Amino acid sequence: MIKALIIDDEPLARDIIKSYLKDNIDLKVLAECSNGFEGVKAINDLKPDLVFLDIQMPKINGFEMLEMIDEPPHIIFSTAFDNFALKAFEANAADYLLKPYSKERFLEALEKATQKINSNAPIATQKIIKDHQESVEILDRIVVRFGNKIHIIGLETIRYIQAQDDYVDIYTHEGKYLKQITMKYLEAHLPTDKFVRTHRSFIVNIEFIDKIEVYDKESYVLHLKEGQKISVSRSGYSRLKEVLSF
Amino acid sequence: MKHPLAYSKAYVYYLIIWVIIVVVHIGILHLYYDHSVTIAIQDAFVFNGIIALLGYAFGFAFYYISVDSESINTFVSYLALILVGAASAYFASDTLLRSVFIVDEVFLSFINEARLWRISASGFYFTSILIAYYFIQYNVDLSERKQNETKLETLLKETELNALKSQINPHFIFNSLNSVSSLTITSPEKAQEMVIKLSDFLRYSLGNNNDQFSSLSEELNNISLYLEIEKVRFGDRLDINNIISDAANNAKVPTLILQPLYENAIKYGLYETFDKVEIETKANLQDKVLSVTISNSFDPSSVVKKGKGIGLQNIQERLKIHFGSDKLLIIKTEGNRFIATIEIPQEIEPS
Repeated sequence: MIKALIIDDEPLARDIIKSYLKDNIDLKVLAECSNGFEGVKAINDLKPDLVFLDIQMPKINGFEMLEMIDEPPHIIFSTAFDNFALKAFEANAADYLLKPYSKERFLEALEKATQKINSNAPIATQKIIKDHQESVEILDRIVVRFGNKIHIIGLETIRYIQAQDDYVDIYTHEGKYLKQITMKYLEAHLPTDKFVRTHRSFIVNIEFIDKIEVYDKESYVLHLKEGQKISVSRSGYSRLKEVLSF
Repeated sequence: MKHPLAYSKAYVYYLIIWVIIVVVHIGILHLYYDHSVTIAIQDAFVFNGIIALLGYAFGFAFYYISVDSESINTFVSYLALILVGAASAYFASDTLLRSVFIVDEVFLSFINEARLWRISASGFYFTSILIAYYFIQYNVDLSERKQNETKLETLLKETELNALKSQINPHFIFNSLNSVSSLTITSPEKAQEMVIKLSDFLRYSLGNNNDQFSSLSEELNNISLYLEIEKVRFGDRLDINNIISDAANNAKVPTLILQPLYENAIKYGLYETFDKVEIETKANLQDKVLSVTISNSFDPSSVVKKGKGIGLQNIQERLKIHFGSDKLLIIKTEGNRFIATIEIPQEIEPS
C-alpha cells in the first residue's frame, strides 16, 4: 500500500487527483494540504511514500517547501507552466504533470512512481531541488526553517551572511537563521548590485555598510551600521570598490 | 510654445521674402519715382526693416491670442495688432527717416505724400504675416492632434495586448482549464458555466470594441467575469464587494483601464496568502468627476517579487493623454490594504 499526499492550493486541482485515484486500491491518500506550510508538517508527520505537489503556491512554492524537508519522498510534480521547473524535471527524467492533464497521463506517471517505490529505487528529489536552485537566476527571497517554524526572509532585511561549514548563518534584524546552502551558490544567485562577497566567509548587503577601514597591509575591516565588524579580503575589497564605485 | 517661424525653418523664407520686398521697394523708388539709389535704399531698409522686426515680434504674442482661436476676441486682437503695427511702422519710419538721414527737398515731399501709402502697405504686410502665422499654427496643431491620436491608439493597443497577455498568462489560463477539467467530473454544469465565463472574458479584450471609451458598468461586467473565474479556482478565499452609484455606472472610462488594478489585487493579494482576500470597488460621480477606488487586503508577511509596474505606468500614461494630468491615479498602502484610486473627468469630450 502506497501512502500518498496531495499538496495544491486550488481545491478543484486536488479534487481531480482524488477522482483519478478513486478506483486505485493500492494507494491511500493520507491527507490533502492547501499550502507549503501544511505540506512540510504533513510530510514530516505522516512520512508518505509519494507526494503530488503543485509548484505555484502562496508564500512558499513547491520547491521552497521541499528545501525544508530533510529526506523528501518521491514526488509527482504538477504545474500549469514553469520554465525553470521543466528544466529541472527534464534534467532528472522526473515525472511531472502539465495542467490540465488526462487520466491516462496521470496513471502513466503514477505507474512509474509506483515501480520506483516498490523497487526501492533511489529518490531523485534532492537532485531535482538542486538543479532547480541552479536554474533560478536571481533569488528574491530565502526560505528557512526556524525550529518548527518556516520563515521567509526578504533580501532587503538581510544584513550579512556568514559561512558555517556546510551551512550559512543569515543575519537579519530579527536574529540569525541557519540554512543549508553554499556561499558559492549565494554569491552567484543574490543580486550582485546589492550583495558583495567581501571574504571567503562573508557576504554583505551594501545597504548596511557604514565604513571600511584598513586592517593591515593585505586586509580591511568593514563596519556595519549596527556596529558588527566584517572581514574583507583583498579580492573582496576590489569587489566592494567596483559595486560601491569608490 | 515655439515661435511660428521656428517650425520647419520658416524664418529662412521670411527673410527671403523681405529681401525680395526690399529689392522691389528700391527698384520702384529709384526707377519709377526717380529718387537717388542712396535714398531708395535708406527708405526701403528703414520702412521694411521696422515691419519685418515688428512682424517677427508679433510671432511671440501670437500664441497667447490663438489659444481660443474660435472666439470674436481673437479677431479683435488680430485687428488691434494690425492697426498698432501699421501705426507704429509709419511713425517709426517717418521719424527715423527725417531725423537720422539727410534728405533732400524732393524726398521730403515724397515722405509727406507717402503717408497713406505707408500705412496701407504696412497694414497689408502685417495682415499677410498674421495670416501666415495662423496657417502655420493651424497645421502644427493639426499634426500634434494627429500625433496624440496615434499615441492613444498605440496605448490602447498596448493595453489590449497586456490584458491579453495576462489572460493568456499561462498560470491563469491553464489553471482555469484545469478547474474546468476537474469540474467536468464532479459537476458538469459548473464546468459549462466556467467555460462560458472564460469565453466571455476573453472575447471582451480580444479587441471586439475598438472604442477608446466604455461605460463603467461594461468595464465592471468584464472584470466581474475575471473575478468569478478566480472565485471558482479559490472558492471562499475571495470576497468581492461593489458599491457603485447609478450615476457612476453610466460614466465613461477609457476601455480596459481598470483591468490591471484587479490583476494586481489578485496577483499580490489572493495568490500570496492562505487567508481570505477581499476586493472592494467603490465608484461615484461628483462634480463631473468619476472616482473609482479599488482596494484589496494583502498578507504583509509574504515576501513577493515586485513587478516592473508596467501596468500602472500604462494607466498613468493613458490618463495623461486623455485628460492632461498625471495626478489621476493615486496608489497607497494603509495597514494591510492596498488602495488604488482613479479619477476620470467626465466633462471633457472623449477624443
